[in-house]
Amino acid sequence: MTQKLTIRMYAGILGDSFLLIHESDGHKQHILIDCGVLQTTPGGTDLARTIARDISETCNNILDLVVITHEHADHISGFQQAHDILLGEAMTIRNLWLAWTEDPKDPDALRLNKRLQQAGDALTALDDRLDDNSVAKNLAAFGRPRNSAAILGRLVNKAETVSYLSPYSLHEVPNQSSSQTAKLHAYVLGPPRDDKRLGKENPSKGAGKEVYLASTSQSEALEGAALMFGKMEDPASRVKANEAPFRGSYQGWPLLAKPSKSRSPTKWAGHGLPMGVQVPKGEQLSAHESAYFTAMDQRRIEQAWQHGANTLALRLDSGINNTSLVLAFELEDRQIALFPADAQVGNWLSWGDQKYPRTLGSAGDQTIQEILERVTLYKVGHHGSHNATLKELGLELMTDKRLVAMIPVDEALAAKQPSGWRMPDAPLYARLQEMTGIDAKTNKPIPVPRIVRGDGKSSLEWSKPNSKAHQVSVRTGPNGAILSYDLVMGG
Amino acid sequence: MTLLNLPPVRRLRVFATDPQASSERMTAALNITTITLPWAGVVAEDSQVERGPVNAYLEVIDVDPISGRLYPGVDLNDPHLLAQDGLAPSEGNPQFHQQMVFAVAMKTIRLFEFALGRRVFWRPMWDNDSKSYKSVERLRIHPHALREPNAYYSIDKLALLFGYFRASTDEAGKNLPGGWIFTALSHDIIVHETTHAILDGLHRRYSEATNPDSLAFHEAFADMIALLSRFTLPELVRSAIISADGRLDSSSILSRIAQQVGEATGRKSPIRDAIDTIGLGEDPDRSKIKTEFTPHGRGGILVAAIFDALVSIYNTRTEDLLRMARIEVTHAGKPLLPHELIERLTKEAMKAGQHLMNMCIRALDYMPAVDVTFGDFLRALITADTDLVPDDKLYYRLSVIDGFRKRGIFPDSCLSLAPDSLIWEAPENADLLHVTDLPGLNGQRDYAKALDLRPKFNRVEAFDAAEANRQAIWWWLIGSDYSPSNDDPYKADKAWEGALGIKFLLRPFDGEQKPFRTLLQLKPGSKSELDMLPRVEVHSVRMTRRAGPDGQDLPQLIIEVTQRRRGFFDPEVQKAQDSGTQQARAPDFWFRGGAVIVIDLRDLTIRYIIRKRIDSEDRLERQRSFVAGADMGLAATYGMTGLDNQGLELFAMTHEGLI
Repeated sequence: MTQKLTIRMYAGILGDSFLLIHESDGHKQHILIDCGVLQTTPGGTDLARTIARDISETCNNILDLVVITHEHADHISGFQQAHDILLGEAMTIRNLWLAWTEDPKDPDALRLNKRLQQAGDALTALDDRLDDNSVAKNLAAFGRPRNSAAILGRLVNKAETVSYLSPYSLHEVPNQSSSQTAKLHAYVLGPPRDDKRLGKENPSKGAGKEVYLASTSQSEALEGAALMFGKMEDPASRVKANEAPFRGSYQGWPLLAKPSKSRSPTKWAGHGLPMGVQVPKGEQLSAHESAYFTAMDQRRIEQAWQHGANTLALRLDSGINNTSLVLAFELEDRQIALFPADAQVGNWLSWGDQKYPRTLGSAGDQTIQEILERVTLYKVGHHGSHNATLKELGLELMTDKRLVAMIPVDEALAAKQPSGWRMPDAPLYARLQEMTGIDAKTNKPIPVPRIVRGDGKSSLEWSKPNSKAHQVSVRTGPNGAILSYDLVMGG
Repeated sequence: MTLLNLPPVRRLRVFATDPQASSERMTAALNITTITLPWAGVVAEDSQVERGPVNAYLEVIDVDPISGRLYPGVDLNDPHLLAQDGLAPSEGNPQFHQQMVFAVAMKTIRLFEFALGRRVFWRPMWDNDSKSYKSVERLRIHPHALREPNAYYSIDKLALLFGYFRASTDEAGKNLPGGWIFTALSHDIIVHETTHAILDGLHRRYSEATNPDSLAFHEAFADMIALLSRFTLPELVRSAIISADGRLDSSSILSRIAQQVGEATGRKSPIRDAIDTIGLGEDPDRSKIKTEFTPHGRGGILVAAIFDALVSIYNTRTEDLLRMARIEVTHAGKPLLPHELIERLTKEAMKAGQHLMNMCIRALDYMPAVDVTFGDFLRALITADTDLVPDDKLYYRLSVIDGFRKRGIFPDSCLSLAPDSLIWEAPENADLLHVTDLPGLNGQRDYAKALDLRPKFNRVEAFDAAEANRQAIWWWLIGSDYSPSNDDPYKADKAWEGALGIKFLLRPFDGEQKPFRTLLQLKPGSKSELDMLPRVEVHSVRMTRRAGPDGQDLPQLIIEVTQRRRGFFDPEVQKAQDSGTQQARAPDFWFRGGAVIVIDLRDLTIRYIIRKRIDSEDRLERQRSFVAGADMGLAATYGMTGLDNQGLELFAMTHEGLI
């Protein structure tokens, strides 16, 4: 009985694209976990197509299982950019696994998605009003692609069988032959069904605050802004949100959105800043009110709503991240490969809320500690950001000395984003280096920690594998650049 | 020419809590209160009120960008309004909202001016065009700035921004589901935000998150004043005393913060409650201080400690009354309190609340300039009160210490929790630290302008004098006390450096260790020696004159000095940058040190030096691990937090975690 699991991480992208090749007793299964490239990546489409071609060649156009973790562009864009390859006639997708949050028949999922949708729509409508360097604008690149529903829809249509998974369950990876004695199993760890866990973005310790999913009123606030700027066309909500808070003679005086002809346009005018007030006959502005409208300074408050947009964008981003389908693949020798996608703290915390079955169909009596202590491959969450790897109750429980970390990140590309994304996070990276920097047999430090990075440059940290349990091979693409890293578990 | 005297006060009606209380039978009658502001102060222009309302401190500009409206400012001098104490409280009239934010913010300012014995100034504003700080005369208030369930003080705009929003449609508490809720009509929220602005004007560095307590202190202090200032409203206090049968130790209208906004956002409760224990004799959870790290959550522990002290002080003040009335106040069985007793209890509660509030505000003058902790606040409270009221007959100080102790809030490095060990220490080497040569006092130096310590009644004049004094003190402070007759001519300079915990570097270094390169200004290309000096910043020079209960006059000069050092996450890099073995580079964070010098002007001696050493490696390591581990959420990943907080609405962010 031999069993081998090859984990192929595609390189040079800020996004997740993983192909798992499972071999036992002469049978092979191909599992694709996400396929996406950050929208602003230069040459992103070409990269995605190169990756897709490699996938289709490797699996001979039969994917036994496709896993979509969540609806962010950097995880699903490939199905759009290379739809003719991954979703074309020639390709067969036997099974599709999605999180329960994508289930159109699940009332909880519908409620959640309505909230996410509402917030997303408001942000999209305001896109051209947002400051270029604002986080909201910046995150749009990371956001849910406008056509994410369509992409998912096509995948659902294409797949022969679709399953929506809920946490605390154990599944046999589909399409394995009955003659395969060594089977590959998968635990589902997240996303949680608990609203509080779903919304939690931050670690509770430290200066931060706990932030919950965008509330309806926050989205409504932004919708109000969108309507004011004439950016949303839904007549029903237009009436609702345009409604002034005061009635009759208390309605005040309308602001004039356009500058008067005498004033040359300023940078403020482009944002639709009111340049004056339509004062009724017989009335006049006070000296202080006039001064307010004349000064084009930082004390003007017309852009203050943008702060709300930024907060909403952040919450939306983490809200979607928290819907990540988290899978732990288990080999026959009990090693585990953990794929937490972009799960944030709330998702991680929920893993320990219940217990897991030890075998298919049995009652749950296995703790999360018992699963995490067997992790030998950790796909680092959210490209290595600081709040997508829980410390005490997560990483620190991965005590197997053979631990390898794979980080799908392009640090240079992340840093190049206008506000400079911190991926990977330095303290987290340092801890990963420590944890993967020990020889499993001798317990002594090794010169190069077992971290495989996706930068696709000469940054393959783990060039000299010290553990026989794992081997990494580098593959290059048609243009000579590094295409992927293959890591082998078992065998 | 009229022979009438000027009216003493201007009266303005406001909600005592928020509009929700006016729609409930129990609270409707007591929910309107009248705020009185002086009609004409010592200086006429300081109390003039123009349309807006606008006066010397505040400028209400009621622009509502999302609705595309300007609500013209109310004219409080309109005879119709003068005749009826301003507009009648109303949710539907934006001009009443203007009147209420103005009146409540002014009331808050006056509370601070009374307790501190001087004028309130706002934080100077960074001007991007001139690259310098400019003084800001008036804090702006925008009562309808946002359509969000949030209100905040904006450092960038020097303004209070109040939001309005629709109550939750599913769970709106006692409010109309989907109805409009205005944060500008919540008495608590107005006091809270105004206090943020005043505290920021006083201690500019407190808005920097350097340890788990720092931002929490800002929030806690704002809540504290919101709570304690209620004890100036007799209607409210009386009703709480009646409904709780003479007790203050249970959750009541006096302990709840922002009831309406809390309920309207679907949380079924006020935003916060200062009572953290249920029932008598129960001890609060001491472990919370070790596990609670959100600014509001942690701040809540401090607020609860202060409220606890209030209850003890009230109990001490009223024990005799209740014994005389032969009334045993218990939770079981409701005694019917006689009307006269209720009046007396109300008076005592109001006194207790106001005394404690003044103690808290006065403590601000005895707080360190940077990196504040809850323990610092405790020591400042005890020191400030001991200075002013040497004999603690009613055990105010012990009550405060007890409230802190019960919640596990302890100061660093104190001998014990006895009041006299909590008082800040007088400086070591005091004989070398002369302040008799302060410019303009005894031996004036020719290069410095004399300090101007005459009381100023006009606020603009007071500001100008404070600014001139700041510069005079700067010259005095960085000037060397070089004395060739001493065996070590720099003895006094070294003593000052030791006492203040900052570096001046105006002397040669033979043998002894040179100060850190990380203190020197990073100015590439400059060869000027002056550029290589460590920067010393005199934040403020404040004069206080306060009268104690026995008529003691306590004139003090308070000098706040700070210095910054480039801080790095990697201790090795820090070492290399400190010693200059590595090319200087921009820091990962600013590490600040500094001191507050309290000088007694009666005998020109230094009473206390409250310092945070710039060369404390322990403190640096604490801040480093705090900043590096600071979980600012996704905001940190996406580069939203930087070295300076410019453009980052800090207080909006802390509030959103909550509202």
